[in-house]
Amino acid sequence: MRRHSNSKNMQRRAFLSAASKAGLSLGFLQASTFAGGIMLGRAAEAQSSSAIKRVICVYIGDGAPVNGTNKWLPSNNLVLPVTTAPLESVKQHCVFFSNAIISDAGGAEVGGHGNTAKAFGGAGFSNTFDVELERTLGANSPFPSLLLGVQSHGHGSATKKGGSEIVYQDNPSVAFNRLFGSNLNVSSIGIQRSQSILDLHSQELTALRGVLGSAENERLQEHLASVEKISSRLTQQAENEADPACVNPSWNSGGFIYDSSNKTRFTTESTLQIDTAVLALKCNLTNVVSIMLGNHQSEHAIPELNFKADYHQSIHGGQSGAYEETRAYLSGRLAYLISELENTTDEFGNSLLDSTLIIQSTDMADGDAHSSTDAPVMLAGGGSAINRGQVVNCGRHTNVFDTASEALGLSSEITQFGQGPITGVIA
Amino acid sequence: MPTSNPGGCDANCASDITAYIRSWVPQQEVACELNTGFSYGRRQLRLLTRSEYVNSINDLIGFEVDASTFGVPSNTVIESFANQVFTPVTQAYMDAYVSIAEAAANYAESQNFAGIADCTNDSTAQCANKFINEFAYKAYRRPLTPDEAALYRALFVSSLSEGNNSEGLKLAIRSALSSPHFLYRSEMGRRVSDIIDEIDNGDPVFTPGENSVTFSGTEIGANAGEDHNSINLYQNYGATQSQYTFTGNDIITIVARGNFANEAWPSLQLRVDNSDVDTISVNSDSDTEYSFLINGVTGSNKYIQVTNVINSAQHSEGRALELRSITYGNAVQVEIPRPDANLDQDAYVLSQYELASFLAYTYTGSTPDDSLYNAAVNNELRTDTQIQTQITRLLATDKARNHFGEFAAQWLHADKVLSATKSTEVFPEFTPDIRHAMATEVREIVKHVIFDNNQPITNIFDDFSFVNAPLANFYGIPGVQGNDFTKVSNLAERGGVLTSGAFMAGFAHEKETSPIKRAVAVREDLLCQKVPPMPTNIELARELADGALEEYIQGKGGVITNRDRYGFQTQGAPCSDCHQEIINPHGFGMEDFDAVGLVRAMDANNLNIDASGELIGTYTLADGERSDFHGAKQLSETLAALPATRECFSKKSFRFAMGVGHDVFDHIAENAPVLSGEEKSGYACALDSMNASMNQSNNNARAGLITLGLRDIVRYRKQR
Repeated sequence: MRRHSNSKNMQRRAFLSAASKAGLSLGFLQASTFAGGIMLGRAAEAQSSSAIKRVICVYIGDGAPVNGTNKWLPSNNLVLPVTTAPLESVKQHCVFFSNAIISDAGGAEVGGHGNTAKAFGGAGFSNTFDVELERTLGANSPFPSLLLGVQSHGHGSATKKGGSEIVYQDNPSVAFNRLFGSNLNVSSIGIQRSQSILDLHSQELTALRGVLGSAENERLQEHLASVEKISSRLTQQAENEADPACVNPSWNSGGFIYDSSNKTRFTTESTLQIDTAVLALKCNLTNVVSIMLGNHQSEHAIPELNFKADYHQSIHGGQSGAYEETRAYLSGRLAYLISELENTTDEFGNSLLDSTLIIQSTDMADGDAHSSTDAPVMLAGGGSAINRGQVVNCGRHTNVFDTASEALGLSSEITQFGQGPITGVIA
Repeated sequence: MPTSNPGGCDANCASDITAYIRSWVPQQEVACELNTGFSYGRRQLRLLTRSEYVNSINDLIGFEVDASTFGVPSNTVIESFANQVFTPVTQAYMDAYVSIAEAAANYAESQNFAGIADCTNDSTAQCANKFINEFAYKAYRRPLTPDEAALYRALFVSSLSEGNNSEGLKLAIRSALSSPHFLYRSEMGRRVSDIIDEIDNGDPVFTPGENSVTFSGTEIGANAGEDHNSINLYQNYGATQSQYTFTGNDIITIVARGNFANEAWPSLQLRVDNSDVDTISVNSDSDTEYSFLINGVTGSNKYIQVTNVINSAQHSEGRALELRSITYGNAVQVEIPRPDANLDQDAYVLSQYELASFLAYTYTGSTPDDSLYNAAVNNELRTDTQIQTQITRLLATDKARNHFGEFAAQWLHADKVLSATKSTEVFPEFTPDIRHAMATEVREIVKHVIFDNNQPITNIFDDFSFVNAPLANFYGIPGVQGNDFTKVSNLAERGGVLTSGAFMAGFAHEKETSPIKRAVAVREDLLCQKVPPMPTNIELARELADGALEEYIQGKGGVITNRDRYGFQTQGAPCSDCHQEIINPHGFGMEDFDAVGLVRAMDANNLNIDASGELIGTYTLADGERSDFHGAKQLSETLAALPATRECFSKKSFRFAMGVGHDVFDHIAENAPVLSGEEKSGYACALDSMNASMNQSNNNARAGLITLGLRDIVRYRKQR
């Protein structure tokens, strides 16, 4: 196994060096919103590594029909069964794991409903793997991470920070606007004013931590970090030649308007969230994205399918072929993400997929049985750093996160979630 | 179960699974131990929920905002209730808060800052003081400390405000509405041992009394038209004060700012009646308050002198001291109430302001109003009578009705109906308007029962409802006009929350009912019984049941009722461990309501509906008590007569108010805090009191709600 040399410290040094050369682009900031919309274009940080530097964690709830005849796991020569068939066009970019066991920190099988964060390694850990990535890989990004949900709210989160579940943003328009925003004219005094507020809040939070001592310390530290991140965005150096595609990106050409009560538009909502994720990565606004496609109670329904009731009912309703159809649909959503990354270029003109690692995980193996073994877990992307287009024995599903840490060169900075990297995945 | 191995789950396997299921049956609840003295709640720093946040901003400046469109994440939900006692303010939250605060400030400007500060013809310094004294305390829900006030004065300096009061006010509003002191409501309190130590060993604290008088402008030597008397180094302002009579124990409060020059701030020396009082550093370029205690000076016509004295820094002509105002007042010692001697030393006592916030958000879902805030200012939230007066007043407001309407929606999952998947082919009349009307119906029923006519809480199962004309038409109830919700009584087939469309359609599938979901909701929401979740690794039994279902249907002629389908699917161990008694018997008894909440006698296949039911386990899951019924309306009558339903209201409202359950914080979440026996016992005492109060008041909910607010666990906390 090869260890990449792009450690956090090296990244930070390279970032600071590049930023110091860039200089403050006030005009650029003036064209942006305050809380969001600062287009960094070719961010300094991105220049420091040519290997994997972006990660998308995708949660697909309730496993797949794997008991009895496994309808998710491809054969060793990548013949895809029904629920992975939609990945046919991108399978050469994928690593499918066999014998994946949904496990906690001690290795116990924990597949089933509740505590959704187990999908991202949260069982037995207070932070999920994506939060660890936010802390490390995302530290220098304008947005350390993005949590984009598709009808995910209401039944647990795949992401847990400090023991608390973190709610995803299900509204695609809000998620997009947070990043790319409108074009308020923020003058230099406007920036000073905003900074003065943030300074005031920082002082208040620091004082509050002093008064409360150890109580609430971790939570207030998170709050303070959020304030400081906005402040740093305001002063962050931006290059002058911002990519026009990032200043006013094309998005939502269909004019979709979100309605939280309307659960019939999963396809459109997931498409838009994926589009936002890809844009955010391309524009280096973030390099850590988490996506939840539904939740463990699976109340979403897909009207365009033959089976029109909710996902949960497709699993437990006893109707032959229903679970296969609804789960295959979700693989199709994953395929869309992979293909969009493949067809999008980064700042160097390379396919975004080559510098992005996708981890798709779940909370149980077979949704009908609430089982733990043979869970549908896979990787995609990563370019030449990953031996793609294969089926690999997994063991604990948390080993996948250790594999990702290794591939990112972050093993020394991220807690080992499982038993270590999986042999044969990293090139 | 693989068809090739139907015996894969043998007797031991089934036994293990059964044991697993039984392990989820909660242990007997901890009872109230009356000999424990005080009971203590838990210290909490509660991030405002979305509605609390929105309501507060609206009450403070009249700005109505849809927080979701600005990206405030959805509420953290614990055991069905919005609960943000552990929610961290992540990037997404802070981005949204900052954006909304900016929008709110712009709105305030459009309204000429009405209700915030009228700074017409004021200097920026005067405007800053008005903001601090007339608005900021409302946002912070307590007076600002001198340090905090200085931070806000700094927002009005010319480098930021450009001398424009509107800019200063907007900046201050933006800051206040995204400050942690606005975003969190504190239930942290102050440690008993620290309070006692301050009383016994600390210096007395004084505050100006009512007989105070302030001088500013030309009265203190400022040039006409200027706010400040600028005093250069070595210079002074001095005057014989004839308009104030010293009492021997007085406070002089000076508002001043300094010019930082040659690496130093100016030093202010105060002399009264030719004696030095103190010399302090004026280390802020915005107006800041400095207070001096004057002892032993009596009478009027005393000479006051404020001097800009040299300090250890190098001389600099630019180090001016700018005097804004001088206030004279009799000193009143701040009374610090001694905590009850029986309180544990490691307990924490909520401040009057924290208590006011608890009462405001608990009973109205928003920030304290003037009356409540003033009660806190005047230490008038100390006795049960004082607190009860406030709670009773708050419960009489429209805000309280709306707030407990939202409580009902969260408690009974009324908004599930808004997005529940339904077949538009089978139910074309089940429109979004009908869904919204159903969600409103539940809110109106519960509000009516809590607030009107001193009814027992069990009337939520009575034979009335609230409908508008579209919903009445959908239900087939005659005589209702218009879009306003009106009470319809003596309904023959429905009435109350159980038979509401929101319940029946929310807990149902696309085309057919879900007797399982309904049954579990009855247990968990209405009886406060925890149903075990489906166990893991039961694939063998599941596959067996699923595989045989189709054959069974064919054997029955190709169609079966929903009841028959679920009965078949859940028969036999391990499924039957829960379904046989805990779920199916009463779930099947609600089959007379279809998947959109309409009464039915036949299903879509023209098969007769069997709505015979039995509730097994009426107080606890395993008590063996049985009650027969037929149809959901009879089940409503059954539920109305059970002690468990009355007590369940107390338990749910307890969690809603306290941010923690009486027995568990979250019975599923891995990282949820665990309640100690002592803590649970205290909460049990609170529940007992709530139930007793309701018993004495025709089981009316308000009596229980009032009692909760008076309990020790509200005022006294511990770090858990």
